[in-house]
Amino acid sequence: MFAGLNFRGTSVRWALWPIFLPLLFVLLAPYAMTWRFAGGRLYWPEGATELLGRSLLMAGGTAALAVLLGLILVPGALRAQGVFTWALILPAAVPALVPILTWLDLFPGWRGLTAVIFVQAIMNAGLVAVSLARGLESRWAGAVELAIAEGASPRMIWRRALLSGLSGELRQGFTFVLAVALTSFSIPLVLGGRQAINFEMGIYQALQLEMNWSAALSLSLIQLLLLVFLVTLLRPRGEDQMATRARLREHLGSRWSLALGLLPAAAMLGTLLARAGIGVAQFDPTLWRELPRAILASGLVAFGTSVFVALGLWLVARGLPDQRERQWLSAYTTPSAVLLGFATLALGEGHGFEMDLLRIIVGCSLMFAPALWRWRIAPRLAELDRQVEVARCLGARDSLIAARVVVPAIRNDLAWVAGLAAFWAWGDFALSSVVAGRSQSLALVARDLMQAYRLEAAALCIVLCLLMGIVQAAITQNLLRRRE
Amino acid sequence: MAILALVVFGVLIFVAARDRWPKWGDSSDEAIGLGPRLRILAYSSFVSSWGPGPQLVELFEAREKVRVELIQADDAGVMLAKLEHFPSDLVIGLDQFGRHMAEFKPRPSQGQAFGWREIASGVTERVPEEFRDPRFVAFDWAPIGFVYREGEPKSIPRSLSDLQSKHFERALLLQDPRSSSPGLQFLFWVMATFGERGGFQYLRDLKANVFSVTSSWSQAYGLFTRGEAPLVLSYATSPIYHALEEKDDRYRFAWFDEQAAGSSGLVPEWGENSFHPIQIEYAAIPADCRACEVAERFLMLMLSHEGQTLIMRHNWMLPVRREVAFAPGQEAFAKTFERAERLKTSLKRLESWPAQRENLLKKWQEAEL
Repeated sequence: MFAGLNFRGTSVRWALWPIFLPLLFVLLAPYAMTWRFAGGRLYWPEGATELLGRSLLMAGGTAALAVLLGLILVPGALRAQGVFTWALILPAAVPALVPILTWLDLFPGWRGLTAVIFVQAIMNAGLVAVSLARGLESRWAGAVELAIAEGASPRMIWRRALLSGLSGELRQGFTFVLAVALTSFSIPLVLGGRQAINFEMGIYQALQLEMNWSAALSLSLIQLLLLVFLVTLLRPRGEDQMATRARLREHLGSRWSLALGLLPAAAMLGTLLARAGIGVAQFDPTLWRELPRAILASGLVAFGTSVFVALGLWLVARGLPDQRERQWLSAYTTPSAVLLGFATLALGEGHGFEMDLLRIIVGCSLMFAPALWRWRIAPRLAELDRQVEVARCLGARDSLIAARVVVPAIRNDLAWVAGLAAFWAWGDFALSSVVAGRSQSLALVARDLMQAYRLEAAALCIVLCLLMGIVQAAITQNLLRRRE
Repeated sequence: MAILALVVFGVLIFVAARDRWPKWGDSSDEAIGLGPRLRILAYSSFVSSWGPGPQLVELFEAREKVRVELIQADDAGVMLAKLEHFPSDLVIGLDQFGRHMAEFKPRPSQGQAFGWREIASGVTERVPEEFRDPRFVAFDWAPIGFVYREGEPKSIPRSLSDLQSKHFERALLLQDPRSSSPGLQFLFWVMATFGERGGFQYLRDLKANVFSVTSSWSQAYGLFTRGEAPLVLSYATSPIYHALEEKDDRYRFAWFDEQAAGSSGLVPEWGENSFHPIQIEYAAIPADCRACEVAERFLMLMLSHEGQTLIMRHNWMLPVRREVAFAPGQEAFAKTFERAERLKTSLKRLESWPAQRENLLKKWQEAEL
C-alpha cells in the first residue's frame, strides 16, 4: 500500500503493485460501498465535535489504564506458559457481552465513563502484558541475564532498564488499546451513559434513529482520520533492536502477578458457567436439530476467516512495507459492523448458504485483520527492519528477503493471528446478523434463543462458542506454526 | 503439509455444513411448481427456528405452490436499509417506531420516503378496527409493563409513581431506549404520564431504584430470570411463556392503574384510565413489489386462525384476532387478552409518539440517566 511514496528500491517495489493494488481496493471497498447508501454526501455532522472530545477522553483513559495494568502484569505474563498465556489474552478476545455481564454481576451499580474505562482497560491489560513480555524476551533477555549474573536485583532491573527499554512496546500497546477503545460499541452503550459516547455510538444512532447514512459514513471517516492522526503522533521511534532470545521466566516472572492477571478470565468464566448451568434444561428438539448445523457453519466461518486473515497479512508482509507504510496500515480501521455488513452485501445477490458464509467471512476478516496487524504483525516486522536493511545492502532482492527472512520470521505470528481470528469469528454476531439471511452460526442461534426467552440455553451456546473457538484457534495455531 | 491439512479440514466442514442447510424456502421450482417466488424480509425472531416464520413458510409453500425466500433483518433501521439492497415483496416486523420510519424517513439513496402498497380490503378487514390501516397490517400486539415473580418484590407496583417507592430500591431492570424497543416504549410511557419536564424529573428520581439499564430486552430479562432484580420491563405476555413452556406459574405481569397513583408528588397528566404502552407489530407490502398478490395471500395466512395461533405461540405476543386467543386450549392467552383489551382505548394516545422519538432520545442522552 502507498508503494508510490517509497523511493527506496523503487523498481522492485513497483513489481509489488499486484499485491498492493488489491489490498488498497479491499481496504477502501467498505467505505466506497457505504458511499452508495450515503448518496455521495459527506459533512461534519451535528454533535461530531462533542463525539470527538468524548471519544478521545474515553479511549485515552482506557489506553493509559490498560498500559499501567499491563505493566503490573508483565511479571505474570513472563511466568505464564501455554494455556495461561491464552487465559491472559482471553478477556480481550471474548465477545463484549461477556465482560459486560461479568461487570454487571460484580458491580451492578457502577456505570458511566469510569466503568467503561475500567472494563475496557481490564479486558486489554493481559494482552498488553503478553506483548510487553514478548518484547522483553525477544529484545532484552540477554542483557537481563547479564545484569542478574552481575548481581542486579529484579527490582533494579525493572526500574533502571526495562521501563525505558520497553518504551516502543508501551507506545505500541497504548496505540493498540486506543484504537480498540475508539471503535468499541457495546461496552459504552451498556455501561456508558452520556459521558461515555464515541464515534461508533454516533454511527449507530445515525443509522438506527435517523437512518442517516451520510452522517454515519461521515462519522466513520472522521474516526478513520482521527486514528491516522493518533497513530502518526504515537509512532514508535527508531530503537535498537537487540535480537536475543532467552526465557526470563525464572528471573523476572511472578506467580502473584500471574494470579492477578488471570482474575478477569476466571471471573468471566465463572459468570458464564453460572448462567450456563441450567441451560441444558432449555434444550428442545429444535435446538438439538440446529446445533450441529450451527457448529459446522461457525467452524466454517472461523476457518475461512483465519485463512483470509493469515493470507492477507502474509501478502502484506511479503510486500516488505517500510515504517511509514506500516504506520498507515496500523491507522486503518474498517467502518462499524453495520456499515461493513452492508458493504459486503455488494459481494453478490441472494442469500444462499455459500453467499451468506462468504459475506460473513469477508466481513469478519476485514473487521479483525487491522487489529491483528496492529497487535502482532506490525511490531514483528519492525523488529526485522535491521535484518531487511542489511540484506538489501548485501544486494538481496526483495522477493528473496521476503521469502528467506520475513516470512519464516513471522510464521508463528501468522499462526497466532489466524488462531485469534478463528476465535473471534466464533463469537461474532454484530456483523453476521446484518449480513446473514438466516441464523447459520452458533452465535446467531444464541441470539435467537435470547429473543425466544431461552436465555440459559443461549448462555450455554455462548460458552460453547468460546470453547469451540478456543479449540479451533489452538488447532489452527498448531497447524500453522513453525516447528522449531 | 500443514496448509494441506487446513484445506482438507475446511472442505470437510463445508460439505458437512452444506448438507445440513435447512431446506425450507430453498425448494426448487420443479419440486413445488413454477409459481412466482415470494421474497419476505422479516425480523430475526420471526425468521429463527423458534419463531413462527419457518412454519408459516412451510404451510404457504405447500398450499400455494409458491417458492418463498425468507430473509432475516435486524431491527427497523437495518431492515429498511436491507430492503434497499434486497427488494422484497413483503416486510414483516415493523413496530410503531419502525412503521414511522418506513412511512416518513427518506430512503438512503433516494431522498424520498419508501412507498407502501395499499392492501386489499379482504386482508385488512381481518384486522380489528382499532389496529386497522390500509397499508400496515397489524399481526400481533402486547402491552408493556413490569414482570415479577410471585413473592419476590416487597410489594406489587400499581402505577409508575409506585415504582419510586423505597420498596423497590435497586429492584428495576430497564432497557436503554436508544437500542431497545420496550425501553423506548417505557420512555414514552413516562413522558405521556408526567409530561416532558415531569417525566425527566421522574426518571431522575427513579435512578436509585434502577438495578440496571441494559442495551436489550434479552439482557435485562436474563438478569431477571437469574434473580438479580425482582422487576423487569417486559411484555404482558412474558408470564405465559413461563407457564406454558416451563410449567412455572410464579411469573406475573403488574397491571397498572394510574388512578391508584401512589406517593410521588408528581401528578400524572393522563391518569384518568389504566394505561400501559402497547407494542404492535406490522407487516407491509412495498410499492415496488413483484409478487404483490402472493404477498397479500401470505398476509391472509398470517391473519388466519392457524397463522395467528402460530404467531401467538411462537412470538409470545397476543393475536390481533380475539377469537384466536379465546380458542379452546389457549386459556393463558385469553386471560391476558381480556385484561389487555381494556387498554386499547389508549391506542390513540400512542399515535403521536413515534414522531417525537429523535427529540426525546436526545434529551434522554443529555439527561445522563
